[in-house]
Amino acid sequence: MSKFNKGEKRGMPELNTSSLPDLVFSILFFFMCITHMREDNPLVYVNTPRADQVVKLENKSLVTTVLVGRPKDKKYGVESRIQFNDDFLELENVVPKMTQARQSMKEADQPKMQVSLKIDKDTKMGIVTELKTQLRKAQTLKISYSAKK
Amino acid sequence: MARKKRKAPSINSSSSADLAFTLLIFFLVVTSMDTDEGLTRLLPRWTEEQTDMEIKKRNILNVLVNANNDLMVGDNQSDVKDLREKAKAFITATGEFAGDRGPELHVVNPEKNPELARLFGQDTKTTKQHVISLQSDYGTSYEMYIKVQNELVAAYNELRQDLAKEKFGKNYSEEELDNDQIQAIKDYYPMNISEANAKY
Repeated sequence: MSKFNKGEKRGMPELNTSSLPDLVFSILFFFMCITHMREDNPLVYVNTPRADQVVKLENKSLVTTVLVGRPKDKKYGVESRIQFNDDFLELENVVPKMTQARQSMKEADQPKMQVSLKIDKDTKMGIVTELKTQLRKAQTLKISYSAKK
Repeated sequence: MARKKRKAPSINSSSSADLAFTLLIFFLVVTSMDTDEGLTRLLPRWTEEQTDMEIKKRNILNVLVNANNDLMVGDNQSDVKDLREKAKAFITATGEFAGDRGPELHVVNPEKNPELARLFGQDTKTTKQHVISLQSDYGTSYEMYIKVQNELVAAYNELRQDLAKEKFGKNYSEEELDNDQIQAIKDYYPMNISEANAKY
């Protein structure tokens, strides 16, 4: 009778999911591009102070990170210590380690090397000042006091 | 003999979406997106013998933070809240306004700056030789130190922003100004913060 209803059983048409993997892969590649590997597992407590005039450190490959704070493990004492590359760093080793880090960079990038100082806000300035003196001796003059907005 | 044409069976790809999701989640877990932010500084070059720079006393603003996190600006004890204004007043201080700036602030003698005359006019005078000397104690807390540093940077940024608005009618940012103008503003208000060694 009806012109349109042919009397066939009408189910929901199945959604074509063959392009779903492509979609997910593109999200995957997007995340692979904009993120970077979580590298350092901190051995010290670092809670950076707040500041509202911070600038972003643009080029990740130029930045070397040094952490200063109270050791998480009690056996290393309660005094603030310096951490560099998954290991504690004594003040007298700062110069050779920094020189080594610079030499591992591309030659064109070496003068642009930047050290990001992630320092806990309860640290006393004494160790910070001494670290800065060592960094000057190591000729790594571009530093950044890491801070949160 | 008629042979039935055989098609290669298609591989069921419905699970490749799950595979991709697994990879995606893996990457979300092991990577991080946070970009490092901070106050950038250029340390002075290390020299074996301590060279004393000859700076006229009137061109220096002393900012001291002691072990109890007390702040001294110029010759007076001060609060962190007032530091920004005091630093701005010091950086822009010209000989003529000496009386209005309060007795505790030294006054910089502005000099003519011929390099900036092209953009800012013939009689451009800048206080290029001023120095803000920031000294901390062995026991000063890092949090206080960064607070002070932040206020000093803010003072410069505000002055530069005002200058950019006044001269170019734009905000002081890399998107709105060209490199030449940015450099000119930086030359007008050079950031001279000296982080001297702590006093023991």
